[in-house]
Amino acid sequence: MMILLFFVLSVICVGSVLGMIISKNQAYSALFLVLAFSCLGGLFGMLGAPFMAVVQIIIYAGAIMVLFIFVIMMINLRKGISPERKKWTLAVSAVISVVLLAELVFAVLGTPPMPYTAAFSSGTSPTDIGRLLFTKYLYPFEITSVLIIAALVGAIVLVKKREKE
Amino acid sequence: MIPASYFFLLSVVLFVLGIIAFFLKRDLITQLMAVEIMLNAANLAFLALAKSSNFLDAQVIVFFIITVAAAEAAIGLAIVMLIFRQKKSIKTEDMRSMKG
Amino acid sequence: MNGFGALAPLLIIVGAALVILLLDAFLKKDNKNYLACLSLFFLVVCAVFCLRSWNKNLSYFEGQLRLDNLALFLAFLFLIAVAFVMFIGMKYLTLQNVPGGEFYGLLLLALSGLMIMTSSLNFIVIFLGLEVLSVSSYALAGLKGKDEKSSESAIKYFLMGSFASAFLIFGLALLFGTAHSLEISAVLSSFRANFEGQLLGLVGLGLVIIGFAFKISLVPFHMWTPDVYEGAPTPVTAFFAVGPKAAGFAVLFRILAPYWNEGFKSGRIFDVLWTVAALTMLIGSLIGLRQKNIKRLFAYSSIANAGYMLIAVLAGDGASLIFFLTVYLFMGIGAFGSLIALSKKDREYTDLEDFAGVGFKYPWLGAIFSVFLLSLAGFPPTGGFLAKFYVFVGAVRQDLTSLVIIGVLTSLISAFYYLRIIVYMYMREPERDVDIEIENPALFLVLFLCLYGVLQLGIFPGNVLYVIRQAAASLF
Repeated sequence: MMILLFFVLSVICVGSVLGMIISKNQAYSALFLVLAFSCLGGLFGMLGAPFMAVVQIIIYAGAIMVLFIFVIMMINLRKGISPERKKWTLAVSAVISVVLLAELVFAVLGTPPMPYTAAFSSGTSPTDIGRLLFTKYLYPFEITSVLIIAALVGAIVLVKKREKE
Repeated sequence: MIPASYFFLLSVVLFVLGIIAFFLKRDLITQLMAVEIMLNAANLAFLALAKSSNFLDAQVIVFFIITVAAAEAAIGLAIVMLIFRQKKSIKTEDMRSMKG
Repeated sequence: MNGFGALAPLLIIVGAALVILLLDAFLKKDNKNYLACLSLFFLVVCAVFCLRSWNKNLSYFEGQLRLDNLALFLAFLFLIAVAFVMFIGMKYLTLQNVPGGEFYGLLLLALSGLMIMTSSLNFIVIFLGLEVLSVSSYALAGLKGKDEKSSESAIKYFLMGSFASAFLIFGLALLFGTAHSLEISAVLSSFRANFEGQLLGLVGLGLVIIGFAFKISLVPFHMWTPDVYEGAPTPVTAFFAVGPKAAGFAVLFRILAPYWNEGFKSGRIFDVLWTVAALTMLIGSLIGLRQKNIKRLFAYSSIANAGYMLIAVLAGDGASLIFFLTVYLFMGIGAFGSLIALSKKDREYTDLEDFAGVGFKYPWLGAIFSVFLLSLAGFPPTGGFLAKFYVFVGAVRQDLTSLVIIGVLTSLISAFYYLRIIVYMYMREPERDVDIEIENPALFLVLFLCLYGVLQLGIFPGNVLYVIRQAAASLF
């Protein structure tokens, strides 16, 4: 039953990423991506991380992709941009990705079989995550606040219109 | 129960698809989306490769990566807006004012 | 000192950034120079706090924050670099219409990223520091809002940078899968203990190195460098050439030096990096020959220099790597500062042709610029010569002789393009009308300090070398 769910979710996920690659319209691409990220959320849940599943759907599929769609609406390109490029870029990207895929698959096969299965049930409540976030990972957590300030300031200064011109 | 390596294989496939999308697409926004796919693949890999003893750590790290992705999306989309305001285009071919 | 005290340098820098941004937003003064002076004050305070931790090898948050001598020395370098960049930028900001408050604020935020990156033994913290640095750098590159080149350089830097971060993250996931921890030492011991799991870990380490290779512009991941260097505002370019590069190499050294010591020196990663170093030096110096734009030329020069720094990493020779980075700071900022001197309102002179006859028209500027160029080319008695000399000697001791031969040959090739600029300045009649605003005391102060640094490090490097050896020794 679980395995069926896994295959359904992963097929939808990969399929919608392919759809995003093929689609000419950025708005469709963004919607395909929302679908892919929601499926990933489901997969996180199956791995035993329900909190991350919710965060994935709220922040990724919700907030970040909505940001994308806003910008696409503001830009409002009438006609799409077709994905095929010059022949050599196609060839290069094909070669790179095949090599990388092969390498990673070999890496998976080369490692000893992972004896454990997914779905860890022990202590994955949001309370535990919160406790870890404010003890062991306090320092990186504080750094993310600096990161967000930098992103905020950067985004504002780039987009704002200067008064004296 | 599903072996964790299935999840890991899926993350590898998604990562490679992200790379392909990055090279194939010709507009800035979709390239940015391709990067987001790659980051998500990494998130899945983190959760799939964790052991039950450090599964919580993996979740916290995924939390950080989502934050990073949000920050990058914000600044990236701001730059895209800036480019669009100047050139009325977000195609990569139009980014040619410098060469040498 | 408790954990809070150890955080003080970082807190000061981040606090300074916030103060500067808020002051700029609320005071709305037209002259932004007071912000540079205020930042300088904060930088000095931060330096004092760093100085107090010297030789103490403090470690907090389970090694996530580690203030060893290497981290502190690099923090000093970054503080100097940022102070210099602020002062060479002061006049430039008003001349080229770059928003001042945000320039200083983002520069300070980028500085905090640099310091986070280099003072940590934990990959997740290193990654977050790198992101703080990158996000502020993307914005800095695009600060010249009206200029199309500037925003183009921002988008190129952003796309390549975030693509590279994705590689870095995926590599971290693989390392996490093998080592079950993201501390550098744990990752290394998993390599030692577990030979079956190595393939996954090797690919992971490879991806992490690819991620860093983008940031420090090693061939074949250097494509973005010339465009970004050309388009970004020149003080920002000077910062890119010095700051992120030094931090990237320091982190790479932190990761790889213990790895070499574990006896992986004949491994695959070593061989690949060997080839990358050779290619980086070759491409940096050969393609640089064709460049007519000085900023692009310096981009290729910085690529070639990345190759020399990589030799030091491969040799596991921390002292000469740090010495090279120190010298590169002074000559890099000096060279870009001289470029800034050649500008006036809304116009920068960056073509090779513009330099014809500058040596006679502006003798001081020409002479100073020539010293920096000679140092970049590696002529004695400048610091550039000694830096290359130490790197090459250290590499020969580690049996990297063939790489050193390539290094010497490529530095001869690149000497040609540096000397060509000098030839243009002194042996050509001026063809174009180059008319610059020469009154810029802050810039010339920095230029003289850089000149002093380059010569001091070239002639009497003893004291600095002593400190650098202490810094490098703290790693093991």
